[in-house]
Amino acid sequence: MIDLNPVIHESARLVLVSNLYVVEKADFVYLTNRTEFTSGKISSHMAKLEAAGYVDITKEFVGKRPRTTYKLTDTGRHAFEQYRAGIEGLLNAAE
Amino acid sequence: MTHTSLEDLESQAYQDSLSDGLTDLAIGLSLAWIGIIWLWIESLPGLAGILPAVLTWAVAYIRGHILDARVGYVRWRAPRLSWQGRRLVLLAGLVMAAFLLGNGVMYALRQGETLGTQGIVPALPAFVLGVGAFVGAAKARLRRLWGYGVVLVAAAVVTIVAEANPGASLLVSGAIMASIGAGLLTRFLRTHPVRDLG
Repeated sequence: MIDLNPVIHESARLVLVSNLYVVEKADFVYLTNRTEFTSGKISSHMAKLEAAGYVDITKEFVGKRPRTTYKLTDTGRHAFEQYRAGIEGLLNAAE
Repeated sequence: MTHTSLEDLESQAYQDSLSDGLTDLAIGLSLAWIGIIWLWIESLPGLAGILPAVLTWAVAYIRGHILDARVGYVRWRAPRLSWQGRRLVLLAGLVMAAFLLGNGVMYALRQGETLGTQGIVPALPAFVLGVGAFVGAAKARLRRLWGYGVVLVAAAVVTIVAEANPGASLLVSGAIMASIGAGLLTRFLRTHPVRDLG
């Protein structure tokens, strides 16, 4: 039985984690542009990823504007790699 | 948008980050400036480095203060930064090679040599940069670079046929590149409003 990580398996979080996995870190605007998700959707899913210890969230000011930056933690990277391995195993077993 | 792998996802994101035209504008202006120095201020070749240096700072400033608020801030992973660094070193090397070749031609002409005006030597700066653009196009998968390569090689051919100063080919090629960059940047600013940073 292959156990897929439910925190990452949710489709919107999978898209967010994939986009964060290929970069070092990115801000809210970047993720909005890449995913075309609404701000509320990104914020709520990022809160769940942060609670799982998969994402570091940094809030800072750029000039007078607030900026929220997201970075996948080592735990998050490892969890995503395990998830990928699980999915690949599942697909290979189905062939 | 469909991505077949994480590598494609990263590659597409990187290509999109260069779609604002700012880099094209800066490199185009730099080449045009070097061309102007060769054509009209050849006694002061050291001036050629001034505008590229100023533009390097300006690009970082504009990206951080104007573009990031529209398209978002991203820091790439170490392999991409390393790749980017190697490309910048290659580009700087090509520009330096083109500059030295051009100065060599001008020196030869001042010494009364005819090789430069009758041969292919004055075309070498644009040709070298054109080949660099082709290599960059293949490596970075940026289609615009193929076009810039064609423009630079065509300018090199015209330089031979018209027996022109090497600066002319760089001025024309740089002006074309800068115009395309300015057009892309204008369109980018129009289509990407400033967004709430979250």
